[in-house]
Amino acid sequence: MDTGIQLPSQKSILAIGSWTLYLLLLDILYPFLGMSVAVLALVPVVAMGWAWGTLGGLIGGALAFLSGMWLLLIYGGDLSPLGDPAYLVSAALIILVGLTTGRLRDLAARAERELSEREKAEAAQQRRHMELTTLHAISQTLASPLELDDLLHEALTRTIQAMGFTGGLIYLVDERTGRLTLTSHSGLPAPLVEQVADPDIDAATCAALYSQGQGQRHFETCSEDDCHLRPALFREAGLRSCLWALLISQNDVLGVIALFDSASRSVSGWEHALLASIGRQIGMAVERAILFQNIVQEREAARILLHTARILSSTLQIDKLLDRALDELRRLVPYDDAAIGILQQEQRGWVVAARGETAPLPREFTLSGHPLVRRVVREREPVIAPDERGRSRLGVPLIAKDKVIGVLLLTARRARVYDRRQAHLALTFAHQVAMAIENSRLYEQTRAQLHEVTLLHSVTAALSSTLDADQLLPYVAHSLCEMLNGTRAEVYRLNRQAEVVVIAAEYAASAATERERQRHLGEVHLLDDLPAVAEALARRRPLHFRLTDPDLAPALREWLTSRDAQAVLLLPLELGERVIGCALVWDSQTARSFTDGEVATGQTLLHQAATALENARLFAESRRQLRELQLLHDVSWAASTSLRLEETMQAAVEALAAELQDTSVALMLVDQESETLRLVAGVGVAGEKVRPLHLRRDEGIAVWVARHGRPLLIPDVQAGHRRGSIVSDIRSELCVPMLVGQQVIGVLDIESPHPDAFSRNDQRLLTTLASNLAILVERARLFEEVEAARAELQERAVALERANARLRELDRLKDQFLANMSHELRTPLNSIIGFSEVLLDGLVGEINPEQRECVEDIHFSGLHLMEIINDILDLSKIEAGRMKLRLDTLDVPALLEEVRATVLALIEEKGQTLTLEVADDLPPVVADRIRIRQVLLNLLSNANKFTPPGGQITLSCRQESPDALLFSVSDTGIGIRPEDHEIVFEEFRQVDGSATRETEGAGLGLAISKRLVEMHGGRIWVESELGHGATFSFLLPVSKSAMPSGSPRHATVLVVEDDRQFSNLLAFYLRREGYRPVQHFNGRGVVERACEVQPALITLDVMLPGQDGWAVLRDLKSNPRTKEIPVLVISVLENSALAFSLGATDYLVKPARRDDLYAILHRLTNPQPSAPESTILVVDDDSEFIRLVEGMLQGTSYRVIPAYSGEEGLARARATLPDIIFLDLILPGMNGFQVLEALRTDPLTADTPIVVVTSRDITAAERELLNDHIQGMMPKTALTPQSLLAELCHLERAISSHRIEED
Amino acid sequence: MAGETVLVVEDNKMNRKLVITVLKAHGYRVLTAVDGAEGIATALRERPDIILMDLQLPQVNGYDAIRILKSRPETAHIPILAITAHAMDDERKRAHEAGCDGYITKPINTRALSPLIRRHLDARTPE
Repeated sequence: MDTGIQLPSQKSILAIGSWTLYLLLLDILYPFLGMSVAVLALVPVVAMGWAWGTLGGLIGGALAFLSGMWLLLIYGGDLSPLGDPAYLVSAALIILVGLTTGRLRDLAARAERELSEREKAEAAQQRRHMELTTLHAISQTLASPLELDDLLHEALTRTIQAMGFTGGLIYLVDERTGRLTLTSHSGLPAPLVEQVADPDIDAATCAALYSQGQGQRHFETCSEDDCHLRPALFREAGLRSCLWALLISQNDVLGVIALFDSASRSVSGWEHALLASIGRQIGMAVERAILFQNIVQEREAARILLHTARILSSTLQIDKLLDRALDELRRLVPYDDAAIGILQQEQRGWVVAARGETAPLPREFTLSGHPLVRRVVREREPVIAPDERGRSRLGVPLIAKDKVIGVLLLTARRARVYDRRQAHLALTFAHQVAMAIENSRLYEQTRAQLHEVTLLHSVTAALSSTLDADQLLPYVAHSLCEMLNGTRAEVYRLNRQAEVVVIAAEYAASAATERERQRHLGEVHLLDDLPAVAEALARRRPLHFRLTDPDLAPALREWLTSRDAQAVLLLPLELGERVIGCALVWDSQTARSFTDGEVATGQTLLHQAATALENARLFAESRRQLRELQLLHDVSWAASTSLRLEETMQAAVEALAAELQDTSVALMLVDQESETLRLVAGVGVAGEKVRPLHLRRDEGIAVWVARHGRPLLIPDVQAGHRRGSIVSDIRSELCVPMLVGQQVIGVLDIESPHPDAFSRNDQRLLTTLASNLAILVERARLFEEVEAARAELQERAVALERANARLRELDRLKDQFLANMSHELRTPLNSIIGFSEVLLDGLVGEINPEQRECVEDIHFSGLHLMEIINDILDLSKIEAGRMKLRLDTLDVPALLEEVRATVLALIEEKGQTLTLEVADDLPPVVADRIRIRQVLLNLLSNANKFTPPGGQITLSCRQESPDALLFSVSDTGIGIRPEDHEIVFEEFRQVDGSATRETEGAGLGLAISKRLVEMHGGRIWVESELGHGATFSFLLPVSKSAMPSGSPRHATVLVVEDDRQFSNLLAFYLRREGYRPVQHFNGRGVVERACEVQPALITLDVMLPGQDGWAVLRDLKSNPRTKEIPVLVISVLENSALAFSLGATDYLVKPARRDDLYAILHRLTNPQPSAPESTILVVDDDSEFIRLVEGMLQGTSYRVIPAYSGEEGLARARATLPDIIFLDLILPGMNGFQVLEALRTDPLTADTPIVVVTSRDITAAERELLNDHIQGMMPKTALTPQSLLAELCHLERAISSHRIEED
Repeated sequence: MAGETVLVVEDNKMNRKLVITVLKAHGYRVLTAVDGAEGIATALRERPDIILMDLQLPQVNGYDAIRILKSRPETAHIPILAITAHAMDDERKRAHEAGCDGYITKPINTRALSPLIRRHLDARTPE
């Protein structure tokens, strides 16, 4: 009832005043007016009634009555007021007036009150409406889907509008600090806003202030001290009053809303209430908004994380995606700079992704250098670093498999950016990243391993498939770069002297820097300039350097810097024990250290490469060799087709030109006489070379080479300094000398229209070829020279041969004649002897003594004639060298006994005695039994003849020396004069005419005996004095008996050789084989010496002092005592034809091979008279060769079966089953290898020894192929009678031993 | 002296006569042939106890005759002595290869002839 208090105050003053005035007037006026004065009381009564309504009027009337009474009492004396009717009527009137006035007044007051209350209700309704409108607007605003800031601003603006304030602010409590932060403002001047943006008030203080009822402020009244809002600032801004409220949600103070007015206004309670309500509304809205924002953020975070996870897991190659992930993270956790660092080792790491302008971490970092990182790693929890310099920093560990593998570092340039929630988000993100990195790592590992394996496989395959080193090394560089993730790789080749490296291959990855892309191929560096390479090569193990290595040598640092590189790995390239180079892998991106795995991979790769290189080298080598061999073969083949120099050379040049395409070839030979180089053969030759070049006057490459004898390779004629020699389209030229010893006999020159057409290999090949050609040229020249001499010799040989043939024919005729003669002579003699015996034996009846005597004469003469004829035949056989000894082991005592028995009848007939003296323990002797018997019988028969009846004849045998047995026949006959001792052994010589009467015989017996003894290697002689009997003795060498098989041991060999050294060598060889060498150093006296020692063999040099070998040979062969002795001519001259025509048994060219010598010795001193014939199948399309073999084997026990093709050879081998097969490899149709295989698979021929005889070189592979199947190999060029027989001898031995094994 | 039949194949008249004289004197029955063909025919027809075969014969030579006779069952068992020239190893070898049982060397030793034949006849395997 405030209004009740207010209104009476004015009216009561009026009523009381009027009443006071009345009383005053009463006192004054009564005396004058009397009782009429009472009328005046009407005024206060009316006033009281007016003032206090009905009651007031009644009271006023009562007061007026009482005052009247009082008056009457005072002034009316005895007059009783009650008794005065006027008075009463007046009093009643006054009271009535008072009452009426009061009543009117009450009515008026009620009306007024009713009116006022209606107004009030109306105003309240209006206010309520406004309030509702405001709240509605605000709540509408707050409910609108605006961002919180916009929402707050809108709410603020509306509140200000609705409540009629000038402006306002909204502070929100910062979650992290708990302090107010300006969030929204409206209608306030900007400077003020800035100044009040960050009041140092927390939520609790606000709540306390508010609860103290300080919701309203008047800046005029409040002091600086008790006002947190610094009123001065507001005053300055012209603001007077302030109304504020808390933003509350669920009892939490979220912030403050404050309204300011430029007027100092009093604020009604409802405004307070309204603002509080608005505050709650806003509080709820903020809460909601925050919640929503949180939800949105959570959702966004979840979405981002999901996205991140998806990104990170979508691919396992995360390097680049980490950047994107960081971008995503920015929407979740704000930052200005971010980095993801991966820990490599315990203390180090490097950044794999970064965002922002300034990296929070250097590319490579250490834990010690970064406390935040260290802390994160240690605590394994997100760490919000204290802000410094207005920056916020957040570090989050990347944990995978319970291990910190890295850190995520975020920085923001504002303070207090990061809170726990963001840390949590970042951690979630970091988990994703860590997982992804780990997965990626695993994947990378797997992939790397797979990649490595695949790459290694492909590299291996590629490396092993290519045999071209030029292709190989770039591939190695490429592979190495890729596998080790370098930015550039190089392969250096070390030269053989190990002082220079050449960059043989290089590769730059796409990530390489500009400088790294520069090409260095072919650059040559001194090893001294590359200490790192030198070290890697010397230590033979991988090395790696990084720019960040603290102890990196300055030189290496400079080197790395100069190459724009951060790190380098050096891998030595080893081939067996040899280091042949070095591979370098550069990384210009990171100063990383290469892992053991990478190094091992690199080494594996290089090992493969080295192997492949070796293969390539071997391949190149073998290809080169093959090429050379091919060329050389072509050349030799070409050369073999002709012996003419020009043709040979032209063929060679053409073969060479065919090999080198687009190349002209010129072969020029030096003409010594004119001192010029002349073109001998050429292909595509033009220019100066077609004319003779003078060695001293002319210039040019060919002349230079011919003059200096050194090869010259000009890669580019036009680029070089030899401009003088330019010939139109020639660009490169290679010229090599043809050398024989030190002498240049010509040059081989090749030219190409392309620069760099020839390599050092070509030069080597050409040099080889040139030296071969040189030899061919020399051979051809020598051949031409020799040819003339040969032709002459040939003529002589032919003539000799012709003469020889004639002689042989004569000889044959003579033999034939003798054989016929003997037959013709013997047949009648048979009858003469036979029928005389028939008569003498009385088979056809008895005859008388005279007849008997006649018949006996006939019989004796017949026998004698028969003996003479036999002797003549024997002698002629011996003379012709056709007497063959049938060597056998003799039982000497048995033989002597037999001989004695045979002659005993004759001896006893003359009354002589025969004594046999045989020594004990005679060694067995190898000799022809029949012939020794013949000799003994002859000697005994002579003794019988020349000893008178009763004489004494002794037959004895003893061992004269270890070498010989001495046989003697002594008689007591007539004896022989010393001067006749020699003569008795000559044919048809009898000592004395007088003696012939007494003795019979043709006088051939001793001659024959002598020959026979000498044929056995012995000698015969006589000791006698006329009249004192004679002793005929002969020595039979026991040497031949020491070897029952007829071995040549101890056989004497006469060595005729003037070169004492060679003679000694031969003697040494002979002694080693058990021969007894007798050395003779002169051409003269050979025959005499031979007669003296009766050697089993004579070796004869041709060039001898005194008399040449040919003459000696002729003499030996014309002397009957030496003509049987085989002669082996050993000479430097190759003239076997002449030697054979002169009767040499064999021929060796000096220097004689020991084995050849042995083979011949073995053959010549081991005659095998009854050796069965062996057949040799010679398979060769070259009929000349077959004829040659036939010629060489003529006179031996070998017979040649020819076959002119592989097929024929096969057929003949099956048909004839030869003992030995000679097989050429190059045959028309079936080649030698095929024939060989067919022969070996056929059981008929599987075991037949095969000798490969070929004109071409056999490769190692072919040799291996052949080795199991053949028993021998002979190059055609090396074929001589000696080598052929040695080979056959060897084969026969092998076969016989094989057969023995079989037996 | 069982009067065995000896076939002498010899082209030389004087030699033939000498052999016949000697053999007859020793009591043998002697058949003669002058060449290989006749020798073979006679041998097949007469089945002599022993044959003396000269090797140098016209038409069919001694070697072939020996080979044929030795290949026929009717005559294979009959000893054949080849009459060879003086110490001609070659002839002896060939005759041996042809299948002869022994040799008589020319000039014929008339005194050794009969004992040689006797030895061969006695060495025959008793039938």
